[in-house]
Amino acid sequence: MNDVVVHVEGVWKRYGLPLVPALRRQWRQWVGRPMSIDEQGPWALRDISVTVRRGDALGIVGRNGAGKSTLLKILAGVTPPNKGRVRVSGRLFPMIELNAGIHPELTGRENTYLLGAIVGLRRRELNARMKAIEEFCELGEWFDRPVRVYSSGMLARLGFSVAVNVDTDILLVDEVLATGDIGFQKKCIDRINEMIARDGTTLLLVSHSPHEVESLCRDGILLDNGVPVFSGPPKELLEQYARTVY
Amino acid sequence: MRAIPSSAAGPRDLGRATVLLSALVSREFKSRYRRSMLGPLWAVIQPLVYMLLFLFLGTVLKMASPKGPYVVYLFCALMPWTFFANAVTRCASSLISNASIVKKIAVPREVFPLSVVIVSLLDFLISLVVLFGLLAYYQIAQGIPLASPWACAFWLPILTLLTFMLASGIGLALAAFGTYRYDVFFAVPLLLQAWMFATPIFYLVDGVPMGLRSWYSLNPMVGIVEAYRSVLMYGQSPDLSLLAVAVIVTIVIWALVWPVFRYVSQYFADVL
Repeated sequence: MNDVVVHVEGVWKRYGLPLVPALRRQWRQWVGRPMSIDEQGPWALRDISVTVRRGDALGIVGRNGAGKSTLLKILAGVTPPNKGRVRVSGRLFPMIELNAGIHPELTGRENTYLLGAIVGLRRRELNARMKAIEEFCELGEWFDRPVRVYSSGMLARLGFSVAVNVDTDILLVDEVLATGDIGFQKKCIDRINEMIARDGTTLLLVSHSPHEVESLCRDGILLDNGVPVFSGPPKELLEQYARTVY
Repeated sequence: MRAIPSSAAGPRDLGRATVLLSALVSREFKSRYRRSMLGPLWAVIQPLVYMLLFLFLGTVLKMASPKGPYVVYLFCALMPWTFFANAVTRCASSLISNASIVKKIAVPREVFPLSVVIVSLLDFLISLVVLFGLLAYYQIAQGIPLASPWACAFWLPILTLLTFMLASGIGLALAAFGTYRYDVFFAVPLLLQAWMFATPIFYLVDGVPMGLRSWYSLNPMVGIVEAYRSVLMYGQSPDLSLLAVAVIVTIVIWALVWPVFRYVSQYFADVL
């Protein structure tokens, strides 16, 4: 069981401070009309259990609001679950909000230092990777211009280039691949595949693109209303997904 | 295996927090003057212009000062007050303006209010340079002996640390609340205005009615502001009983606020 890197067991999540809902529940219990589990909601995740092993590449699909991003946020530790247990072993890197913290007046290079600091790279580590980052994003002379003049695709390149140059054991990817052009998207998918194959990185991918799921994942789960309704290989997964949507 | 940290602090998280903290502070200073022609000069121009304005106002209104010119009396208190007020105001919105980072990584949330207090502190240190220029002018050109270097070297770091802790304690409370409910942003400017009038910045403490004195001195900024004056202007040690009030209030605020902040900060990402 040593190769289990992500273990989620019976997790429930309702957004917001749980203080007021807890008081309300106590009150209803006290007056003799206990609340049903649905009344305690709205639940973003309902009793979800997931196990991911080292080197796995798990796709998470489902309609908007199904709880995909919520699951990743709980794994990233930015929000706690209301019930259930979450265990993560190893370094985990959330590839969500790629351009978190960038300042429009600063150049691509300056923002790279900032993005690096946000994902936990020390200045020395970042300096060592700077060349690779600069090459990966292919921004050329734009790399030293303020990012306010960037197009959204160029901005995505910047964030992504820092993200794929971080050493990590577990990679969480949340719908961030779609912004770049086709060439860059392919480069990103190749790079992530390389991280899985060469470094044994574990991938959890949230995506609406059948192409991404098929080219990156070996396994997947389908979420609907916060509940996992199907799990299996990409082909069947995407068929099931299509069935829930149409 | 380790349990997932919910913005908890292990040694590695603390290291990450420090890296992020310095990045946030340097982002502010790098970007602030980027599109201005005069650049960092503005940091000096602002206090200078205020100084001239108050020099004029002090003369017109014939404002009294126990020792030395009124503008010095005023500035010795206005500079630390500005530090305090700026820090507190910026804290309230510090999580909201960094929402994308809060939603991305599980770093201790104290980093964000702390970073803006540090920014305000650095602003304060720059304004101190202007203040020292003013003190030096009156000391040399007009022969009015003001600050003593030894008292300054000893007391200024202590007072600045105390102001820092008080501002960040109150700032944490405002950040904790302001992230959930925006009433804070309407209330803070009003409260700070009232607080400024309840602090002897523009007027002398002697003018405060005796009956109100005991209540008045519960205001921790009274002790702090008067202590800055004692050190910078009168060349004496501060009134320790007033300063003790400020220290106790600061400790009480931290003891009350920090546990609350720790609890509610877990859910910041939910509401941003």
